[in-house]
Amino acid sequence: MKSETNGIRKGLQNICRDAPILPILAVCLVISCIFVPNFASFYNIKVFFLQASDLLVVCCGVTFVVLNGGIDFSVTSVLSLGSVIGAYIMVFSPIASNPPMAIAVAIIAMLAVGAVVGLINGFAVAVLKMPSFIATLATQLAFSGVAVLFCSLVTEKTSITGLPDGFFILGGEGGYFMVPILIAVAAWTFCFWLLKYTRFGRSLYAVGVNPKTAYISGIPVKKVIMLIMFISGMMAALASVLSTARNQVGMPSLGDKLFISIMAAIIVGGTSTAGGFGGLKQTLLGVLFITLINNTMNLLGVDWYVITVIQGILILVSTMMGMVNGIGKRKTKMMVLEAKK
Amino acid sequence: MKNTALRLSGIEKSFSGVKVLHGINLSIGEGEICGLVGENGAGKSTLMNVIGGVISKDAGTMEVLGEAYSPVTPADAANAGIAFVHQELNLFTNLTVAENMFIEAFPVHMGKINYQKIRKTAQEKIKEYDLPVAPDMKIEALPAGIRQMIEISKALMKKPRILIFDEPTTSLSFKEKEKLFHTINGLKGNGITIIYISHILEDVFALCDTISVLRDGNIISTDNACDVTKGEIIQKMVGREMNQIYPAIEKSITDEIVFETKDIVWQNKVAGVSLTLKRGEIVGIYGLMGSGRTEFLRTAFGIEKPDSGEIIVHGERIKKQTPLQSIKKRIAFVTEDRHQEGLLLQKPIFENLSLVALPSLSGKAGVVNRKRERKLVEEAIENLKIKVSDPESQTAESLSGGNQQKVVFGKWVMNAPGIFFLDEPTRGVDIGAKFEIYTIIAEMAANGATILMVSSEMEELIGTCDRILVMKEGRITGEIGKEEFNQEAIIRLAL
Amino acid sequence: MKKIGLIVLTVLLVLTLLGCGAQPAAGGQETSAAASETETLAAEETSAAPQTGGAKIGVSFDSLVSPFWVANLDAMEEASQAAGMELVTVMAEGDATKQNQQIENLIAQGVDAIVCGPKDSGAIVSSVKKCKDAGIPMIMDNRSVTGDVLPDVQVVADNKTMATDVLDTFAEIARKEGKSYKAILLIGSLSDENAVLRKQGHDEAIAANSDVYDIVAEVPTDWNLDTALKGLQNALQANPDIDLIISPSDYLWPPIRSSLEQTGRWAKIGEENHVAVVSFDGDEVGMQYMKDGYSEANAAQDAVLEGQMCIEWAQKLLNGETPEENILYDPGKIITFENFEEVGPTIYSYGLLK
Repeated sequence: MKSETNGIRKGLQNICRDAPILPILAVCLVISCIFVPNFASFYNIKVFFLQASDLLVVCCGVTFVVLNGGIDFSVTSVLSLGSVIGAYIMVFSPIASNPPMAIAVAIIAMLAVGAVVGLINGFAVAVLKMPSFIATLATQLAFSGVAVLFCSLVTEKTSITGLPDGFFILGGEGGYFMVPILIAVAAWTFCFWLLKYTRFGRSLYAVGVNPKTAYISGIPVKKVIMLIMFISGMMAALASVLSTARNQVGMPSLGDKLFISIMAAIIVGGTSTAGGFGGLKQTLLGVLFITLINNTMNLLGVDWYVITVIQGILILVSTMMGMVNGIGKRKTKMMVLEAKK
Repeated sequence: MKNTALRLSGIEKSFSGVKVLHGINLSIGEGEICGLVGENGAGKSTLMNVIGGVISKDAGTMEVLGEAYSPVTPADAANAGIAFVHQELNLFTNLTVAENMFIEAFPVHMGKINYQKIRKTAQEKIKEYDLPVAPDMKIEALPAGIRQMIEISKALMKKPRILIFDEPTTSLSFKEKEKLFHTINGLKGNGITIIYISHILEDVFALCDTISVLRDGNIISTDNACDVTKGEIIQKMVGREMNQIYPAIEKSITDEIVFETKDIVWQNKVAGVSLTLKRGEIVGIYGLMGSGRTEFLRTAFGIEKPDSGEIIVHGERIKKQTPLQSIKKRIAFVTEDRHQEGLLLQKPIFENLSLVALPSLSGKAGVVNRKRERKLVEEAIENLKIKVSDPESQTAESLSGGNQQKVVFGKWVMNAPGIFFLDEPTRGVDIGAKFEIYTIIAEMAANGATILMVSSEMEELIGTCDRILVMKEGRITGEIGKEEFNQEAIIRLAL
Repeated sequence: MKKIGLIVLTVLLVLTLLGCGAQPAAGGQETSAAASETETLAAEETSAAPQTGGAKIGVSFDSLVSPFWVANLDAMEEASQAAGMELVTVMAEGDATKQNQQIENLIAQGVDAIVCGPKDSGAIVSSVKKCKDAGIPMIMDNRSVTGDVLPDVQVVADNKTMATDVLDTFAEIARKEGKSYKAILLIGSLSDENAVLRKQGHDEAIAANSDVYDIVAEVPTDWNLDTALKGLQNALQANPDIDLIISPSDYLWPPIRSSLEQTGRWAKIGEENHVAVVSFDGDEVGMQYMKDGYSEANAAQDAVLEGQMCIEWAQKLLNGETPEENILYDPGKIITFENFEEVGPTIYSYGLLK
């Protein structure tokens, strides 16, 4: 009996160490349920998960990059460019008259945008050895510019409307609200599996902690980095599909303001920006948390600027907590070891 | 009778209810050099941390030069005139030699660092210790031995009354060591008290006036160095009879050549090295710092790309040697710098151990077979006797040096290699763990593995190797077989 | 594995709490709050639409950077207070995606009606659909949308009438003074609906007042400042006797000013070289030039009236009324140099003038 309670206590300690956001999230959920009117309504829960789904998908990809100690600014441009190219195919291209085919081709094209941007980033970071900070900033600028130019070439407006109805299923329209949620869950599960159970995932952590050790241990560092950037691009492209379908519009500004939320979710979740620590469990929690904050604050009618202030403070606090936790953990471990000797 | 520089009485310390120090009593006379020896885990680090104000003691009293001393922070220790030279280097690799020497107190003139002054003073220090560096050189460009010397000169900048050395010579060459001992003796002459912690008993005997042995949190004995023998000290340290440090394991060398290099040249460090290794052989490479021994080993493994020359593994010429290529050919490489290149320090031991074996543990789809992985890791921990409670959560940095080194060995052993390249395999490892590592090496050779081992400890090479190659200025200057092993002959080739 | 189990357990626990404990508490609280509010309001203002008293109106704006929206929101707040309704405001800060999410959150919160100043008229369509699905009346503020599903009411400025009115008003003044003008007509963009409507309004007034207006050149600008400048330079070169410029937007002031300066004709009203300018929008640039004496007339959207209309219609829609037309027009305000002192302060941009 005693060992069992000990086990639970240890488990709780582990959770607090690996994902300090979890108890905070739980408390916020309970508070929201009790004090925020309509929070626990079916409609709001549906909205909550729908809003979390695109963010989760794009965050999954970026988590890989952050675990490797890098950053990927270009995901927002993948969202935007994918959106206008997909919308163009579904609205203006010759195959637009055949919606099922247009939708299929559009999705493939959107994913291809993610693949291309990801591979360019991968080449720049892995082969040319550019810092990801610079490489992805460059691709972000270039491709979001392409998105705006492309949109202005095909339409006078700032967005492309008139997408086929069938496409909106992917955005969870009407009774299909489970579709994007399930897609997001599937994407997350796939990434989680990739990170935890494959050689690639294990190599990624090793490269993130110490690339020199990883190289000498025979890990193909370049390949791993290429794959990381590729996955990040692909996940952003998938998020582009979901977000375009949900907003029912192709927009060159689709991803413009998303980056802060992406990084906020990943950092608040507990993944270290220095690389090597954290993972997709943390990102999932972070995404839920950021979505929750936005949702409840809107529900309470809090000024948007106040929400941004709160987000900023949360990032600071969670980074600090992570640091304190890390140091504390290390110190206690060392002392325990000393004691054992 | 000399004054007492440092007196410890009844020092006790427990961590989480486990007693680590059981009432330490020790007094060291002013101007004395006291050697403190003991296995890793005997409590040396804890004792030093108590003296240094890093952790607080549970009971007991301390006196420094007759005055009561109870430090709360490391700064208190510094104010009391106690300075440390640590085993782990504490230099900023991105700064210059001069900047590192002054890092704790830059001379400032009107808010601006007086670079001229620090450069000048640093130049004087460099001359004093005869270091082959310039004050403006970045630390990252310097080899480990020179870094250690800079660390020592940095500690001396504080003009301490009591100076504590923690394994200062592990990365030093013979010549540098001589110089260091000369310096230490000079300090002694100036009335500075020295506590010298080391695994290398020869050094302790050569240098110290008294030798105290620490075991399991107790001071077992304090003797004058001239009154005891090395064997007696070892016996006291390990608490058991140790007839021989080097294991005698029967093995046979075949004529099959498994590894060969021809005229390897790399930059200006390696100037045409050719050698052949036979199955079951243990070959040592001895050389002073800067002789190119480490650089050659790294080139042979593929970490550095040779400018010219051939590498032949199992009769097959390797066109482009990379670590991955070497691993595929079942070559292992134990680095001299396990913190920077050997381990994922902050990651669990489990992940460290399975790093090299990942490809063989995963199928075509790249999915890791967790069951097999766990089994192999458990085997490695058991075979190498790595002291770890929970390999899946305990990080590599929490281990002692010896156990860390065993983890580095373990990650290679898990890939079942046929050829081992070992660079300073026992650096920073206590004597008990050393014996274990020698045993591991000998057993591997007995099982048909080939071992190429670089070391700056001549005795260790003589004890373990079948033949020793001596390097100097990037070339092999001689080869000595087991029957003709002779320290003098080796040194002559190296100098 | 244990850790994952624990996480699942915690989530389940929270969900259970959410399911049984929370709902009645939240619901109960809300109804009681709403009820008490209704009571107090009923006591205070028995005359003002008791059915909508205590109703919550969600307002979704892009941002409050422009003075138009500030004045617009102020008017809405005042109007809703008078009607005993509560406003909940969200800002998308230039992110059309965020605006859609915020409208979803407003729906989830259970607002009774939504007033929306859309960031992007294409991207807002999905929100219009969601409001329809949720049965929440939606009013589009200042910008109209087109498509299969329309908001219940769209309040927009009547560009055409405003354009006609401003030229009619100016023509009357000219007649009084016995003047007639040789004019340049600037054209916004023929692919922009607003610009087309303004052009139509201008054309009608010019035809009706042909005794005053003689259009010697039409200059297309495509809403491009550089194109506008070159067109103006050419027209002024070819017709040195031009004494009026008619502009469809205050946005075009920079090329107007520099082309006049280059031909030595940038002068105040009453000075010899003065060229009259009749503009549109009534923003802080146009109003400043009027205040400084460079511009004779302007047509401004009525931010206050539009805000009032939005709230009025929110109330009406909640009471079951339906509008005859989907699009309701704000006739705008015409302001001239003569009546600036009097009308100026009612224009939304007045507060920003120096």
